Amino acid sequence: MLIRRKKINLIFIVLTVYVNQFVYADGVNINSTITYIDNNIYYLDTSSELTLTDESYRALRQGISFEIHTDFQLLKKRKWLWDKIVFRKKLIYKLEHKPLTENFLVTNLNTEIVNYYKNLDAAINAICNISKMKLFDKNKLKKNIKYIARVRLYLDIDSLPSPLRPRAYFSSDWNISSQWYRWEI
Amino acid sequence: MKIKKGGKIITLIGLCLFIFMLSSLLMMSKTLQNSELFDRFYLGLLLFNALGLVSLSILIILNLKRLIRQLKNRVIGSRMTVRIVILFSLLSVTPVLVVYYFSLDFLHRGIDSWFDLRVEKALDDSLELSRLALDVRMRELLNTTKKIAEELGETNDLELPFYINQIRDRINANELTLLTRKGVILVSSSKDTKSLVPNTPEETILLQLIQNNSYIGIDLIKNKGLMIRSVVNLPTTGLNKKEEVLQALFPISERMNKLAANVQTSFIEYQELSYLREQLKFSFIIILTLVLLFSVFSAVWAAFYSARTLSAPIKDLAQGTRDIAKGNYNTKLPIPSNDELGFLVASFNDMTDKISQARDNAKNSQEEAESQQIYLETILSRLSSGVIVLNKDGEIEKSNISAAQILQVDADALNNKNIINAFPKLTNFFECISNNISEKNDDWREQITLSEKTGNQILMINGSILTGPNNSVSKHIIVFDEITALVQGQRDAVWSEIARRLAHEIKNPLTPIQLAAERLRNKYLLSLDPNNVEMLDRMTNTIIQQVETMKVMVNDFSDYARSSDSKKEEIEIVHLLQEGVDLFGNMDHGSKIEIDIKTSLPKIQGDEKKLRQVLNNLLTNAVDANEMGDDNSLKISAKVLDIEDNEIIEIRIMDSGAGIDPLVENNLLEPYITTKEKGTGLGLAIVKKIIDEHSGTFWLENNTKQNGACAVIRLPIYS
Repeated sequence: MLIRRKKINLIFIVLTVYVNQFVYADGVNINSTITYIDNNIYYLDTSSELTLTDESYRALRQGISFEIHTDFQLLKKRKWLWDKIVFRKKLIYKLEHKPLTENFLVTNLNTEIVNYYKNLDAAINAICNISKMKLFDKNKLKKNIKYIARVRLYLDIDSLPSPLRPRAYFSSDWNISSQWYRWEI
Repeated sequence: MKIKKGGKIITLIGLCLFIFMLSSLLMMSKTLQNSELFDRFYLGLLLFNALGLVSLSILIILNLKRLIRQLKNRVIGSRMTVRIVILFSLLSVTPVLVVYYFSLDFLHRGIDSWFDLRVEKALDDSLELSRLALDVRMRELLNTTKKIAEELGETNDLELPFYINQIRDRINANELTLLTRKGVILVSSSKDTKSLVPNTPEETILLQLIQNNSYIGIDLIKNKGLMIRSVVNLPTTGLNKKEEVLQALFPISERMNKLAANVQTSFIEYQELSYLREQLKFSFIIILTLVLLFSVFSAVWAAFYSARTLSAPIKDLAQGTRDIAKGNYNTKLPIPSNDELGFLVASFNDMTDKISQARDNAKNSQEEAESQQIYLETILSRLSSGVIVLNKDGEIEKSNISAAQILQVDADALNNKNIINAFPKLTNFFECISNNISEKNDDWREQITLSEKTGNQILMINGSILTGPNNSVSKHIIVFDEITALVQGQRDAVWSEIARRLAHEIKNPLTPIQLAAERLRNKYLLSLDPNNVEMLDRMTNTIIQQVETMKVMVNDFSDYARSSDSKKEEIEIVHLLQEGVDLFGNMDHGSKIEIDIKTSLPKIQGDEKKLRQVLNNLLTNAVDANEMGDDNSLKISAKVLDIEDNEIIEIRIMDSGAGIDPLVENNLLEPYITTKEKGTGLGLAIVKKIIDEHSGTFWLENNTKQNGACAVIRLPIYS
């Protein structure tokens, strides 16, 4: 699916979209991504799906808060060496359940903006659909060099309470992560 | 040395690992008491301890592998190490396992006791109570909102902006907003003048309203905290035909807000703890298990170390004992400690010292005895006298080379118990010894003669007794010398002297006697009457002939007595033999002469004149002997023999006479012994003397296949 955003001050749009290439992992898939330039700044839009496992849903309901990361990386392609990370940005959302009102709280830890959702789907939808995430200056990219962008959505196990972590590291119930979604930029 | 160094390094590593792991476990214990530390260090410490356990288990596996290898190779001390390891492990692991079991039980019970059902119920109830309290208020506010919605439905759109403020004030709402069902704000009134943009309901709420359901709930409003959100549809009847919704946000009292927040926080914390209960148990079990495994592995490793330490001195002792058994008395064991084991090792070292000293002394004594024996044997072997050592039973224990040489037997033959049967010629020798031993003569001396083909052998035997403890007879020492040559020499010297004097005393008067007899004959032969002439002629002839005979005899004496001046040169013995045969063949026409002489006989070295005399004497004797026999035959043979790796020429002259007279058999080669009526008894003695001068042997023997005797000469070949 190709998503087009129309902006008045848009000079040109660079689209690199792999619409039909869904990246499935355990409960997480990235449906589409798009990077575009606005005023010489690269921005990112992503559309993902995330389904909690029964165990993680139970934990959320029991008061465990989750940190869900959207990790973007820009890699410089190298012929004989590993690709080098030239830019990296993370968008972190904190998801909590409030039993008194039976609502779900989503906090953007980058901006400290808090949103309140009546059900889990709406909360997850807010986390998974990111629009206009500011990335880097266009001048950062050099000519004649290939760059690869990749993005990943995952539940950060390190943010879980310590007693839960040892089990979470080895349990598939807690392996909530997409694979890297890659495209050339 | 390298192995010991490596072992020390491994032990040091194990000790360091033990200390680090113990410290790590203590830190883990600390982190369990502090949630902040727990968050920071728990996983790292867990990983470190797991790695430590893996390292410890590798150490144990290495130890176990080495122990199995030692068991297979039957290394000393390995079985003891196994027993100590098993014993130590059992002693240490059993109580640890018991403590582990009860600790797990207490852990489960302890953590479960934190979560009381009554507390949980109270928290649920308080949350429910909070909800109910809010529900009553919310229901009232929903009704109020519905009434306002009906009221607004009757209101003209143009009046709404003025009227909505009044309504908000009247119902004491914080914010009142009129929106389309799609969420587009139409009119809004807010108590908070700083808030420019009114809060809008979520899409889900709007969807709910589309289905003609009102919404009432407690929502967290940005910058405003908890508020009661009431959203209702405006009635589609009356003046307002549009599909619009009314949202009212009512504040919750600060007190209620705080209490509700407290209840919710407590509930969440309790729920979180309740959920993490199993995880906490899991974490504690992991730590307990780590402690258990650490204790068990450390105990097993310590058991290996202790077993090795304990068994090392015993292993050394066993190895030292083996070394001593192999004859290595210089083994020194390190003294492990000052305890009983150290005392044992020190005693072992003392023992090896003493054994070593005793061994050295024995070795020195043995070397001294061996050198003495070698010295004695060297002397014995160099002795020209024969020495025989007999035990107290008269059996030969030892003999020297000279003994065998004198007795003309092999050295080994002397040790033969049946030596008399094997060598009958030695009967006299052993009988003499046996008699003296049986008579228990302490120190005796006796001369005996052994008969040989080549002549008699005269031995002088000395015997003495070696006494042992209590003056008992232990051995007999027999020393003997061959004095044949000495006796013969003495005898020859005497005979030569006699012959010389006889020749001198007789030869001098013989010539005057002969001359006187010839003068007497010449003077009176022509002057006497014929009767007396005949008598004078007969008597002077007799005197002259007898004198001539006596001259010949005296010349023989003179020859025998003459010193052995001889001119040695290479001689073809075949020619000499041929000459002799030709001479006697011409002289004695009656004898049948059979010749068996190899024409290719090698040369010998000698005096040709003397050897010719030898052959003449022997052939004369043979011819004379034939005259006394029936068969007048003479056989002469000469051939090369190989005796004891020495080539010699053997000449045999066989007659067919009466043979050797037994009366003179033993003395036939001595001077003045003859069986012939006219013989001087010097012929064979001269032959013997000449052959001796040529390093040969000569003897007479009776023929075996025919009558007569045989003269045998053996001469060395000239090389």
